[in-house]
Amino acid sequence: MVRPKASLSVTVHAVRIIGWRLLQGAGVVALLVGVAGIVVFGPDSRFVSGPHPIDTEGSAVVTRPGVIAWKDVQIEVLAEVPGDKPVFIGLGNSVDVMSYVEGTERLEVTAFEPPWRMEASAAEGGPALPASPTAMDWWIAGEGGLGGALLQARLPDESVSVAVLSVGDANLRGLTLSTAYGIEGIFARSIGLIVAGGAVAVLVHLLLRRRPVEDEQEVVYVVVEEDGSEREISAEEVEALGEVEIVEETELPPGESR
Amino acid sequence: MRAATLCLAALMLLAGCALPGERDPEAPIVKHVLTAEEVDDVVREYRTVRGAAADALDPQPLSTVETGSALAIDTGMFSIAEELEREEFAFDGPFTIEETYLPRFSRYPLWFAAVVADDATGRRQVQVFERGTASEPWLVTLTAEITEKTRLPGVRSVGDAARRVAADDATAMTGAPEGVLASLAASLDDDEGAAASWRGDPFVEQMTRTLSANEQLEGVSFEQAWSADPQVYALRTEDGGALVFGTLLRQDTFTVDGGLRVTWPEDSPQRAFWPDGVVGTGSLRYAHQLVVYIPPEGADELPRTLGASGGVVDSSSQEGGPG
Repeated sequence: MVRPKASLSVTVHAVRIIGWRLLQGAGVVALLVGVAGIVVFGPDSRFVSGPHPIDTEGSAVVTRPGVIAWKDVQIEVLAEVPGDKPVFIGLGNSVDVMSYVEGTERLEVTAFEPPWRMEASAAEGGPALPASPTAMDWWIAGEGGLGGALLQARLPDESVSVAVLSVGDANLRGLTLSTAYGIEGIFARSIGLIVAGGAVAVLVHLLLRRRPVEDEQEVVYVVVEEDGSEREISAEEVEALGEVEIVEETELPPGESR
Repeated sequence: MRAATLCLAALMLLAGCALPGERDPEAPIVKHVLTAEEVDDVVREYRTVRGAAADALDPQPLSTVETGSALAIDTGMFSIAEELEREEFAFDGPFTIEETYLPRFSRYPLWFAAVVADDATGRRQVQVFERGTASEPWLVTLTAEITEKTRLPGVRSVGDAARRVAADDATAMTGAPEGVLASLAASLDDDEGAAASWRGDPFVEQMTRTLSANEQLEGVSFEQAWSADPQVYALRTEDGGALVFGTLLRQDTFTVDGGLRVTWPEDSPQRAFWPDGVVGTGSLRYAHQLVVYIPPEGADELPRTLGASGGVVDSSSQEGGPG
């Protein structure tokens, strides 16, 4: 009687090894992402860009619907104009913002990629806004000031537009914009990714080192004597016997031995 | 050790999931008209301004909170109250918003409807508020009163927004909202074909009684003309029909026989506009604001009015009628 390991067990073990290796790979990726997070965002969890000059003579600079494509990101936009010109910067639902500026000469941002790549086109209209932006009740967030204004807001899960608006008779000539992007707790989370990802990679390595025989088939040869007794023989003895009759094949559960 | 590894892997996954993501690029660019709390603020502001105007019988402030036929009706009502020296109810006390219909929009104008009950009197009104552009305030554009027992049909939703129906959309219904209102106006205008669709309707019966009373005035030729205002608001009901908010316009023309003067009772609207009566021809124009239900196609029922309010919005007179 010879007992070789069943072919199905080989397949199962191979899949398990692949699974562990994939998890180890994910741990390495998480570690690298964590490092990138720390390098890019730093301890204050913010990435800053600017100031960037904006070429416009109009009363408004707005992002078109769909240009701001992220959610749950903390943004800061600083709008600065020369002198003490009054300026307002706001974040609002795109339907509200576009209705508000529809009849006003404006610069529309048609594409934007952080940290700073912007495309814009001019839109015609009257010189003034239909009403003071500070009187509008639909802004998600907004700030006004003389010579500059800082918008701090968390992007919601809806289509929003950012608008930089002149107040009163002034225009936005000389406007510069600075932006900062933040993800709440990204520094701590990056640390967490480095620790967790590194630990997963190391632990999987140790796990796989402890179980090398899982890759090998273990075959035990047992010969049944004429009196019915069984004794184990080596593979060489089996070979020396020449032709043998395999009476029965059995498989032991993993971890169990005869 | 295997369990520890899997726990750490789960924590790693959670940390990664907490990162912000991009919005769905296919998501529509829309605005939900208002939250329930914002509706409360808008209705409260409206009632405060209208109440102050009603107390003083001064229609000037009304233009900051009303527009269109709603403004015209209240302005006419204040004129009548002033001429007849009577009070106009303010509706400025505590109120309950029983129901709100809050659609979503991809562009202005925006509108929403609410069923508002006045706690002091128990009177219930369906009110439609509209905002023309982002720089304009919310204005009441329609008010129709419903009885205590009236139950409006449920409205379908798109996500958490009430589903709108275009004024000219008759899909799966017995008629488009604007067509049904035009049919109602035609039935009141003595169109027999249209009248069959509105037989037994309470608003039609009330107007028919008014018509009959005016036609019986001695020495007076009376004519009445009806039309539908093109401004219509409609919502899809749960049964596939529609709940429609719209306005009918009516003109009553009195032509007095030569040599006669017609006067009206002390407390009548006609007396307010023509305190000395009419010699020749006089016209009164009314606006009636309605809530109408349109059943779904194949339903064994007719369209019907569920609520109405209205009043005189204008008058004119010309001496020297038929000689």
